[in-house]
Parts: sequence; C-alpha cells; structure tokens
Amino acid sequence: MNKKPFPSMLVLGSLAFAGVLTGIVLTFWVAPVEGSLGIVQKIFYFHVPSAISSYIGFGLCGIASIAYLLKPAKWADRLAQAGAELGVVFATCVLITGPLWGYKSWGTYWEWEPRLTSMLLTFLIYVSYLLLRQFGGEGEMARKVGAIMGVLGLVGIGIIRISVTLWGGVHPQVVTGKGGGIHPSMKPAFYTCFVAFMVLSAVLIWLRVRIAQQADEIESLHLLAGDVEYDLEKNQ
Amino acid sequence: MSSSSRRPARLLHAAFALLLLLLAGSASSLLTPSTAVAEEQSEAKPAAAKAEETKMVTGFEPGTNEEQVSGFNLMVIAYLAFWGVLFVYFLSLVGRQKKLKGELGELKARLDALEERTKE
Repeated sequence: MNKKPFPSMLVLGSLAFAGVLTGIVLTFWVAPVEGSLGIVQKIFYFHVPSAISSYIGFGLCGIASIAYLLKPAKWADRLAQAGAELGVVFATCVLITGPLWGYKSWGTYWEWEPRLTSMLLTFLIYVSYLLLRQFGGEGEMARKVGAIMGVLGLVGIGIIRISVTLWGGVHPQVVTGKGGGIHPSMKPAFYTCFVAFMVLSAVLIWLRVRIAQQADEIESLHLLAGDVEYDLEKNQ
Repeated sequence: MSSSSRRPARLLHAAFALLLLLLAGSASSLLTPSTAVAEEQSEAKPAAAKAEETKMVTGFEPGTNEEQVSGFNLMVIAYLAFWGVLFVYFLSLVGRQKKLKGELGELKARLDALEERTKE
C-alpha cells in the first residue's frame, strides 16, 4: 500500500489552502460592503461556492451510482460514497449560512419556498444514503439500494436547479437566471472563492476515495492472512 | 506516536489557527469603522436624548428580534459555523486515516507472525 500521498495531491491541497486564504482576504478587505443588505452579504462569497460544491458532490454520487447499477465495481461505489459525503458536508454549510443571510433579507430564518425545500429534501436523501451505507452492512443489497438512492438524489438536484424558474419563490437569482449579476468590484472575491472551493472539493473527494481504497486493501490482506493461517493449521 | 506522524496534525492545527487569525483580523477591520461611526453618532445626540437613554428602567416592552440581531453578528455566526463544519469533516478524515494506520500495524504484526510460523 502506498503510504505517501501523491505529489499532485499535495500540490492540489496547497492550492486549495492558498485559494481559500486569498478568498478570505479578498472577501473582507477588497470586496465592498453591499448597498442594501450590508455586511451580511459577505456570506454570499462562501454560500454560493458551497452550494455548487454540494451539487458536484451529489452529482458525482448520482453518476457513480448509475455506473454501479450498470456494472457493479468498487471504484464506482467508493466514488459514490465520497461524493455523497462531500455533498452532505457542503449542503450542511449551505443550510446553515443560507438561513442566517435570509434572516437579514427576509426577516425570517426559513421559508418553505421551492429552492430551500428542494435543497433540504435532497440533503435528507443523501443523509439517508450515508446512514444506509454506514449501518446497512457491506452486502451487495445495501450497495444496490444505496445506488438507487444516489440516483434518486440526482432528480433532487434537477429540481433544485429549476425550482426558482418553474415555481418562483423568494430565493435570489443573482449569478444565474434573470438576476442582475454582481458588481465588478465583487467579482474577484467571488471567482477566487469559487475556484478555491472547486479545488478543495477535488482534494476532499480524492482523500475520501483513497481512504476507502486503503480500507479495502487492508481488508483483503486480512482475508488473505486468514486463508494462510487456515492452511497452516490444516497442514500441522 | 512518532514525530513524523504528528507533523500533519501540527500542520493542520497551524493552518486552522492561521484561518482563525485571518477571520479575527477581518472581523476587527470591519468592526473599527462601525464603532467609529457609532461613537460619532452618540456624540452628535442631543443632551435630552442622552438623558432619556440613561433613565432607570421601570418596565420591559417587547421588541422585534430583527432589530436586535445585527448583520455583523449573523455573518460571524455563519463563518464560524461554516469553518467549524469543514474542520470537523477534515478531522474525521484524519481520524479515519489514523485508524487505517493502526489496522495496517496490526496486519503487519499478523503477517510477521505468519512468516515465523511458515519458517518453522
């Protein structure tokens, strides 16, 4: 088993760290305070990239789950689990930071409007997926049911994406859709955070997949050792 | 635990401390102008208004929560929660890696014992 991380992983990790630090500096020292919402709008620079990272995580889980259902392979299962974990972590961040920002702009922490509700439901689908994988055993059935849940979550992502366009709601559409966009002076901070979060997501996925891969290798070596022990005892 | 195995954990702690320092620096830089403005406003208040403020409280009246929770506080809570969640996840990954290292040690001992038995 390879003990040392790949050099490219270290490079990516350093890039993610430098990107996040630059993002913080740009957010607080360069980007101006927004006119109508005030300082609370600075949540936006981490809230939106987190949301995109969670979509990437859930999307990876869904696609890897389809691959697993078509042709069961360990890599697809590992990738699906890593994607679901990443998605749940970033969606937790989104579901915490969003209401705090919403409180200032809507006067309430939570609105049962299409985007927020569909985000919460998708998050719960992937939390259920992770619970199933954690406590449902290592059997083929648990993997397949998990994969079906992963695919089901993909529908949720589609609903989150089109919810505002189809059903309206109070969630702002600043970056996409018919939103007014962001002021040029805010763009460096936003795009730096966006790129940094994409790199950070890649690093976290990579780390998680490697851990799962190493766990599988150790388990197969334990099985092999068990076979050798059995043979030795039989021959004695 | 060897010093080489502690290095990543130390690096991680140092990185988190740096992030916290940056966030604290950001918070202080944002607080300074608002405090100055607040001081200016308080100086500009007429003496009658100041006297009204310093009156003894004789009863409580309900207010709205919206007035009490400032945007700054919400932002600080959001950032702390955000980095807290990410840090906890990162720690869980480090924990899982450590557990694997322990299992690898066990496996090595088992294989060494097997090798000895095979030689016998």
